[in-house]
Amino acid sequence: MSPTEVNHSAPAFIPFQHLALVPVLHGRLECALLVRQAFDQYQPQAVAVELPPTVQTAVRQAVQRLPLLSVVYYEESDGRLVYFPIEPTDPLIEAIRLGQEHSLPVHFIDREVEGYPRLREPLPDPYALNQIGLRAYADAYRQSCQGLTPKWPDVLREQAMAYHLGELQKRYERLLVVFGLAHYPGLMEQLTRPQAHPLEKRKRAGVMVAHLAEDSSREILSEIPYLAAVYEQARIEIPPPTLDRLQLHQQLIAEAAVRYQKNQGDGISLTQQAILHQFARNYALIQGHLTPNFYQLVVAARGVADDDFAYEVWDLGATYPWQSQDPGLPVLRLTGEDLFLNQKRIRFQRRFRQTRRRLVPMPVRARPREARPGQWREAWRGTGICSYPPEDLVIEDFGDFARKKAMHTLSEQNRRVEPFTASLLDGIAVRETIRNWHEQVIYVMEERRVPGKVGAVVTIFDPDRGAEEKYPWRVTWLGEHAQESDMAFYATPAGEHLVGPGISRCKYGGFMLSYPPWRLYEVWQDAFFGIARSKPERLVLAALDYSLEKHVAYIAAQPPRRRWLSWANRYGKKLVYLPLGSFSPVTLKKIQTFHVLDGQPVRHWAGDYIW
Amino acid sequence: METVKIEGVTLHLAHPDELDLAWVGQEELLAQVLAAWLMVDERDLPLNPRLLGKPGVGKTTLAYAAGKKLGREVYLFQATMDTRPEDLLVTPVIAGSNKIQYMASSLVTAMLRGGVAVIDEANRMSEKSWASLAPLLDNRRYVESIAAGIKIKAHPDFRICVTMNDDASTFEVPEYIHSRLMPQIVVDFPSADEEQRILTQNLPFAPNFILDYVVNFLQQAHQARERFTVRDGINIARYAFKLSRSQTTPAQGRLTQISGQEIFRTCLIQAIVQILGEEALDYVPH
Repeated sequence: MSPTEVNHSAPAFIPFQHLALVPVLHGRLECALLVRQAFDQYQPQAVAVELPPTVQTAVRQAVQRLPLLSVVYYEESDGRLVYFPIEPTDPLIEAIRLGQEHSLPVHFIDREVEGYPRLREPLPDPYALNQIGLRAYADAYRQSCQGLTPKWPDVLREQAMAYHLGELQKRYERLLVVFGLAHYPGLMEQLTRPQAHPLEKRKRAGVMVAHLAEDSSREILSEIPYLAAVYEQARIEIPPPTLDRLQLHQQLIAEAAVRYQKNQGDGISLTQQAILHQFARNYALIQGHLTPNFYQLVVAARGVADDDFAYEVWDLGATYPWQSQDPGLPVLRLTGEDLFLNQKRIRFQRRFRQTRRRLVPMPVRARPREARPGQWREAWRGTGICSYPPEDLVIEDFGDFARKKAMHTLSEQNRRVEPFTASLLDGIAVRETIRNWHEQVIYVMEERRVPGKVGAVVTIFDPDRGAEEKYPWRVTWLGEHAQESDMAFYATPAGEHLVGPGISRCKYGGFMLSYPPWRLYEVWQDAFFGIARSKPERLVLAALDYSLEKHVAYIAAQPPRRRWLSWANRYGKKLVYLPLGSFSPVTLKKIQTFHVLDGQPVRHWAGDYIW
Repeated sequence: METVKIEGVTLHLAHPDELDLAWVGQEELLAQVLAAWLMVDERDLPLNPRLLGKPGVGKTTLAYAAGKKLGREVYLFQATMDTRPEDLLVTPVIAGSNKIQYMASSLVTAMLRGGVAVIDEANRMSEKSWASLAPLLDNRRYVESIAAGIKIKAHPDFRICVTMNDDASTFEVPEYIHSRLMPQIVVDFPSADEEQRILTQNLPFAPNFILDYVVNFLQQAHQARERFTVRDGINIARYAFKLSRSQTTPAQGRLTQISGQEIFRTCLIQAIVQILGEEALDYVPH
């Protein structure tokens, strides 16, 4: 069976007497779907879930609010807080929701417990549910538990659940029961025995419902919020939808690639996407899962592109669209740390399975956001703009490197190796001599010096010849000090894409560096270069005119035009072509993207927004 | 020296590296390297991860530890700016009786023996050297040695990983190579707890308060985005410990614990200045 092929024919529940048992993993899309399918196949008269009756009113209220997210919480006798996020992909919540939507009785059959220990047990990946069906999945788990001693609080809970189910069976012909897979072996055992009425607490004071804050929803949902959103939209379909996690991952990556293209101007190739999925798959397999989790997807995104793409994947993946400015309930903020790290303060009552949640932070740097959309753009003045000094250093380094590379290319072209005849020239060419050792001939080399040096450097990322002008902003900038080159460039306009207060991100279409500084005169307005037919041509003309050295480095995807070479001849200079592809794409991206600051004071905080 | 005959040419193989390197903390990174190398089917291809990070964060150690975790021989190749294609592949040398002997590089030895090759500081290599590796890094999985005139196919178990500093010298890696070196795995500064464990692993003889002091120093420097790494931390702690030993006379050796710590503190500050310079004093814990 291929990974995307779903076994629809298998029943989505395990029949037992008047019950349809659905053992599930909490908070997983596959299990929520399973409940949806079981409900459709079984058409129950009532629903029972593994939750204690003490939280019934609060949970019902929270489920009513869906798709808005809520948290049910209460304080235990020792002062510890227990949180229970109500999210659409939790199968228990799905069961209650379906019950409420179909006006069926919903019973909360679990035993109330205090100080339930936090457990971590190995559980099978629910992705296998699609492939092998519920019965085989649950039986495989049951078999793996054989020989293990059940934990005491669990036995009490399972006895209580078995008692309530026994009572409910007297009232209903068809009862759908949704509970944690970890209880499946124990509950099956208890269901075969007569049960006494358990002693249990029936009331708990102070069970509250709060609205989950938007930024918390990005962090604490059990399922990837993007997947939760897809499920939320699809769950009303009849017949029940079949959603495949791997296909949804592909969809998420493809959508993030579109956003990346829009925000960064770079695409993610299909090869990159294929490597991303291969790496994420391997990463999951090596850690004992069938499908990658959100963390692994984000790491893989960074692995095939960069931090910006990882951010897009995280940002899109962590977006849960149903939010409310006026939730009508107190708003609760929770962080991953609240729920999982600080175990001394918080613990779970339920046996939440840690199949997705992790203690490691997402590998994306938090970006400061605007207080409200458009705030930074409104504040942009655009007078007295300046550059961001660390980027100036990078571009100067690149200029130096390009000059050296051009000289190296020239001297390689000028190097000659020949068999020794009369003169040793510049010495023995050892490599060539050994290579032709069988000929018993000595080879000598001649290093013919290249006269002159490389002066100006022209780099063209995009000649901007399309119907729509992408890089309309044309500027001539003079160096700020004696070690900084003058620069003429065309780029995307400043003030268009803002990444911080007074910080605009731009992209060069092309630039020309000229050293020593303070000599360039308004390259873009200078009538002397009026014969130029395009922006790259004007930069080349300016480079030939201003270069104090014989050579001008020209870096672009295409070699220089013939007429530029003849212009260079007339200037007594030479254009040295270096293909753009011979430079590292990481470096080119780092250089092509730059930031324009709205005045010198912005330099103080620019470092917090640019990375 | 072990030899292998390929297309009539005898290649002399290199030795694997046996180093006392252990990877401490950041288990996720180790899993990422192993994931890149994993093959789920014989038609599958392993990926060629590129480890990126600041000098001294442990990229080579990570690559070495991952290779060892696979239970394979690990071969390290130190790349430099003047690494030539034949240095990377096969070097002809003139042996006794005027004959040419072909020496396989550690990379080619790893390819032949199904080992793991780690090209260290690979960003320093020229485009020419990279070009000789292009067919090895895609589905062809072979190299062509011009010097020996042979084509060498990689063993199915062969894995490769390159480490790169994220400094200006990455200008050289051309795009067609860059796209073959995926995924990139970013090795970041470890957490305080991990840094403590790394220091303890490397300097088991140093007193705890020296290690605490150095960890505090490094964490403050990381927050200020300085480029100081745990390698600098190890050097500082080791040097400070040596300084304190050389300054402690037998009489001082009986000093109380508190004044002993005073001596260490002075030595630590001296070590920080001598290893990283005066500007590093800004991050000295008080």
